[in-house]
Amino acid sequence: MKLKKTEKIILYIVLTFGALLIAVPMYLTIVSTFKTDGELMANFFALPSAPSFATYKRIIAKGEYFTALKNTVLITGCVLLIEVLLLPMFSYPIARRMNSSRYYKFLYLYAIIGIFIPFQVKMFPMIKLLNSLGLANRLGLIFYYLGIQTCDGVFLINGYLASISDELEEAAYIDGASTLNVFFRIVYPLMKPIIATMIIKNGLWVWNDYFSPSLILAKSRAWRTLPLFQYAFKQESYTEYAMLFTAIVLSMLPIILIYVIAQKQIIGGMMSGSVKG
Amino acid sequence: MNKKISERNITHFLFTVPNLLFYSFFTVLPVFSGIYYSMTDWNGISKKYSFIGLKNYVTTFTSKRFFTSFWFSLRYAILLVLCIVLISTILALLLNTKIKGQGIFKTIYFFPAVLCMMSVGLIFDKIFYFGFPELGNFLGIEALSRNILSSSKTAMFGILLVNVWKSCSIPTVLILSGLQTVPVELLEAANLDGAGHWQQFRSIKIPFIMPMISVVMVLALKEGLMLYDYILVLTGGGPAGATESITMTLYRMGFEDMKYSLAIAMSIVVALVIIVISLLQLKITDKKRVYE
Repeated sequence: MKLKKTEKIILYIVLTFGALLIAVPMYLTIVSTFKTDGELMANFFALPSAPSFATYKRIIAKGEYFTALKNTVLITGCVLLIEVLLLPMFSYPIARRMNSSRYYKFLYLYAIIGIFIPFQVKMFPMIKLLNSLGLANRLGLIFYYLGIQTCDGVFLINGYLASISDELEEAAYIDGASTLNVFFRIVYPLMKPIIATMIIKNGLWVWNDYFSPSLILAKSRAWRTLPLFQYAFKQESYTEYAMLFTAIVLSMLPIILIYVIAQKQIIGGMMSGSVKG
Repeated sequence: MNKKISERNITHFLFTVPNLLFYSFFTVLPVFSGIYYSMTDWNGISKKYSFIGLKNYVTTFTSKRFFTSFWFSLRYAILLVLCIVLISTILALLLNTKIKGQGIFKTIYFFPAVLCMMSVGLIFDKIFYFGFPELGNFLGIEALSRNILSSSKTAMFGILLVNVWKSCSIPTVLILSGLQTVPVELLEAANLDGAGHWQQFRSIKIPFIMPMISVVMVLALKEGLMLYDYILVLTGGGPAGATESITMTLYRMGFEDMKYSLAIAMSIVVALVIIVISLLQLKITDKKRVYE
């Protein structure tokens, strides 16, 4: 649709204003890391008078940031590595056989029903269960994510496989290929787009989650993930404002870098992930 | 041939086993054990507890704290859905025009989606504390000069603001993708007939973005009802319990007040309500789509 010139100008003004609403909090956060606490209280919006990396050095010297970063990378990495194998394996037979077999039809419904059960119902018994198994730790948290992300995963992959015909697979079976071969050589490569979507969606979920790690990893400081590290920072040194802002900036840094590099894939993945899930 | 098929059956079955175990053990089992514990008087720690039937559910329905916080969460969720649908639709319409720099705007508008709620909450906590009062003093607006989180009347809107800031990104891009499915010929024909922006939006675009809006509504509603992170950082449920969401009440009952089994009973009631609301919402928006 053609726009009149005045309409175009208004459009730019509104869009730029919106973009500023997003940019200003980020600007304030970054600028605040270079100020002293006194400057912060006196003039929140101004530029720092003598910018330095002192707060960054102090936080890095403490070492807890890198522990948290390591934990977050480790937990997210493990969950994703296991999921990219297990979820497609789980969903593929369901997608292909749920109409002919009662077992797979049951599995589908059994997995899907979990989407409707809110987190609050699971949380208390989950902590209890993990505690009694001695799994109230990082491994337990990984298991927990693997379980809970099944529902969305099956729904997502199933919808995708339904749109791909099984001719190729059937032809391979007739040629005498084994089931494992058919899955890993033919089906799995075809599923790449949906697996990428799943990695982005679940990766961001695990990376940014605060509530579940706060319940499951409460026992040790050494297990803290980045969200826990930030909250602990607020609790423990709540009067050191510049330090808090630095902790936030450092915690956001990895995900911002990833966003800058792969924003197209991330936007695409998050979108198709939320439509189907 | 028969041998082949049985090999396939076995392999397929084995494929499903590992994930089935994780899911059954770490997701389904806790739900069932939760239902069981909700009928006991267990406090979460002691070794002994006894079966008390539906007593916890009776207590739930007579608990003032339960209703107060559930009512807060419901109001909050409805406001959140309205704000997100309205803002995202407007942004998507604006972005769906032929302008230069559309890609940059999209990148900026989507950015909050990748951040963690904890970071966003902490940043805005300080903006409310330092930024707004300073701005208020500078502009001479008295309403701004107090921290809006410190008054029980306005605290909810502070939390809502933070939530909307972060949560409009995905809906905007979703609705934008719906808008891009509108056939160009339809819009051109409408243009020739002299239909204005509003008319085109109402009679041509809405039917095409309705499926996306219904997805957005379900997601936003769920997010609003589960509200926890922002409250923890921004108000801690205060002032005077004015912003205690249902999730926060459940957490405190279970882990701080040692009313573990009661908290589970309450969570099951909440779950049922959420399930009913989601199903209703899906049904209503589905119908709308079909009739249009």
